[in-house]
Amino acid sequence: MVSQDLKFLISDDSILARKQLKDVLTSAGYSNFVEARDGKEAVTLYAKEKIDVVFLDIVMPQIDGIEAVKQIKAIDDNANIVMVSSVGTQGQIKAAIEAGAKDFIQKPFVSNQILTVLDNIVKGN
Amino acid sequence: MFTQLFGNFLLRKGVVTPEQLVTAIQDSAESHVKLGTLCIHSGLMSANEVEKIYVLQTHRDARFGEIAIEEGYLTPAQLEDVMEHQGPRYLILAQELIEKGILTHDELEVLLVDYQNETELYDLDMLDEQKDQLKKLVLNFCEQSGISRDDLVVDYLQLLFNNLIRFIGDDFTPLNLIQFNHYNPMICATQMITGNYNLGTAIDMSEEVAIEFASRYAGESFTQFDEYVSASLEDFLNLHNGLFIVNVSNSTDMELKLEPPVELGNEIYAPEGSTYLLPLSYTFGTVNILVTLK
Repeated sequence: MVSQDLKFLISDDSILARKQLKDVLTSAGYSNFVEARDGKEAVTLYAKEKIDVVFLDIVMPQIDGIEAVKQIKAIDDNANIVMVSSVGTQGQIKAAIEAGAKDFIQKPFVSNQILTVLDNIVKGN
Repeated sequence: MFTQLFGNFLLRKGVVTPEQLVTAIQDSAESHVKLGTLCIHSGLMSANEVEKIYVLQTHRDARFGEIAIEEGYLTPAQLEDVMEHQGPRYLILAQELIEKGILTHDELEVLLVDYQNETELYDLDMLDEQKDQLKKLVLNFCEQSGISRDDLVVDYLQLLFNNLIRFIGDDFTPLNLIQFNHYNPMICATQMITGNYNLGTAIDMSEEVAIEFASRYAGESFTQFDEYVSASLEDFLNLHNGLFIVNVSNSTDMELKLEPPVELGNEIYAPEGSTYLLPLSYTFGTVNILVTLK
């Protein structure tokens, strides 16, 4: 995986949260993004575009983040999905990982958390 | 950190009206505490002694500290000490109320003792880490409004004050809780917490206040109301509610759920249950928090 060419799908119902995540990735040199406002749109976009890494919120309209993980994994079992949510209960983290998410970042995040998780994914950890 | 409740204490005592308090909070943003107020707070001088020095200062060109030493009220070491420690931030509010003629130094002297006795805290700013003390203050606040101390809403409000301080700033004072049936919102985001405990939550403010709120929350300088400003209200509410759910999950066996936040638009807000409006008077304007107990 050539890291600077990565294409990201950022899914969060908050335009501000999507912008903050994009700002972190842009400052690290990435520029290829697609955005989804809910879980359903995220699944549709994943099926259409060639996505390398997905950042998913949990609390979203239409389909929540956990269900979106399941549907994306059904499309592509190798999907790289990272949850970014304020609802970091043990139950939700467990549900996300069991559904196939690779990592969970509790909001509010700092940029290093995002970049460290991304680095692990690029290195295949 | 716990000084926000001093303004609410003054309201409950009936020594200020909500309008006087809001104006004083907004005007106090740029103020500094005067030496006389600090001396009353630290117990080094009485209100009468402070008043006497202010009168003397009208006849001669000398600093407060110089006269206090000459008159034997303070030693040079005490003066240095009191100048180094600016005291808790609520003194700035007290100072502003004195300058507006709403409080006298005598009244402040008595009120400070009452407030410190009620909260059992003598130096509020020194105890930032002591969450138990904050809980005590919030409990006191809820009891004044008839909310049971066992209700999870006490934890909710305690965390809310923490998160407001953490993400927006500590320059606010909660006014009294108001129970209501119908609320006419301005810019309003709502979110439901569901499960074994149900709580309706909302945050509401004017466009102008939202611009400053969003700027502080997102760490950016917004100059006009737009979708990012609007989203910051939902974001803050969602973040706070998410952290609340995590806390509840960690301290009990309860797994609560969050519904996605919703922007209310111009609809009247009239959820089922007992709804309380908690106005928080920030130096940049009023932020309204609404909680509905099901």
